[in-house]
Amino acid sequence: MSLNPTVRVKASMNRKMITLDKGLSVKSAIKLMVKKNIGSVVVTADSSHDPVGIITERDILKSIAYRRVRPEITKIEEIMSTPILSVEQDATLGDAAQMMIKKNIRRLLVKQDNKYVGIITQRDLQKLMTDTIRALLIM
Amino acid sequence: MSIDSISISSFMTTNIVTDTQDQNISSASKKMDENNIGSVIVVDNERDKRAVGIITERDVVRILGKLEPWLLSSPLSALMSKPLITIRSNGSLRDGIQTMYSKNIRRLLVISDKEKSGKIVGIITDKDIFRMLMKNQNLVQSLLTDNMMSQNIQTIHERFAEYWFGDTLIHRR
Repeated sequence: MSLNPTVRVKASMNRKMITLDKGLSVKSAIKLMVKKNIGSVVVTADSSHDPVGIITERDILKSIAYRRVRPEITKIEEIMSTPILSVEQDATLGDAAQMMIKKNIRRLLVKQDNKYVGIITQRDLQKLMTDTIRALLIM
Repeated sequence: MSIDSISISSFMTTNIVTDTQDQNISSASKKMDENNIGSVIVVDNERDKRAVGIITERDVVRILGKLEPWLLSSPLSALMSKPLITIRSNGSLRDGIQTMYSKNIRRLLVISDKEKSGKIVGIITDKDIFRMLMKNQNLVQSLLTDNMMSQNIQTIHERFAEYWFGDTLIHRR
């Protein structure tokens, strides 16, 4: 059986990376997450498109739990997660899943050569796995 | 070992993190972070600990997104989701997957199969199922071989194997 080279992380990742500048407010990140129903926003610096971090639901949760963060005033860069962890787009979904489990994170940026080309989340992987199992069992 | 023989009780989380319904989202957020989990079960009070709802990490972000300061001090009873969807602890892994699918939810509260009271004994999430399947490639393998009957299944099998395990699984066959 030959491997179909298209069924890898690149086939399942989300190519639309939602980004915000690190100097914007936490409020703008929360609003974007709610509007798009997503769990994270990739953070960029100034005019460059290179990601410098990621702000996740968990960062926001923490800010509410421990600090008196004022979403209108606090900047994204003050609470975002760094460094960015990534996986190559030709990795298998299993590789991506193992990495998330090992690092205890829920999302990875996807790289092609040295460029960021997408994002893949644990929820994407879980859904793919259970969808397949469900198809197998014809439930 | 099969998807029908693995019981819910064998992989559920028995440490259920709760918060009382008079607490606020800051308190619930703290508990989620401290325990590295995505939801807390809301109970009526410390003494009876009767589960009355659930609040998730996504709920917290959605509530903050409303930017209404009074929501930060609202009691969890006004913010939580209810009713709770439950499953019996002697149910199978298949029952768990099916229930999550049919209700379109990612967490199930597990109740005892022994008592009539319906005592809560654990919780399972889609992440628990996912992690268990990732750890038990043999289970996935047997699931695949047991179902290798139709052409359709053959296709799914190939796709599945390639997706998840790449070369390793294919070389092993």
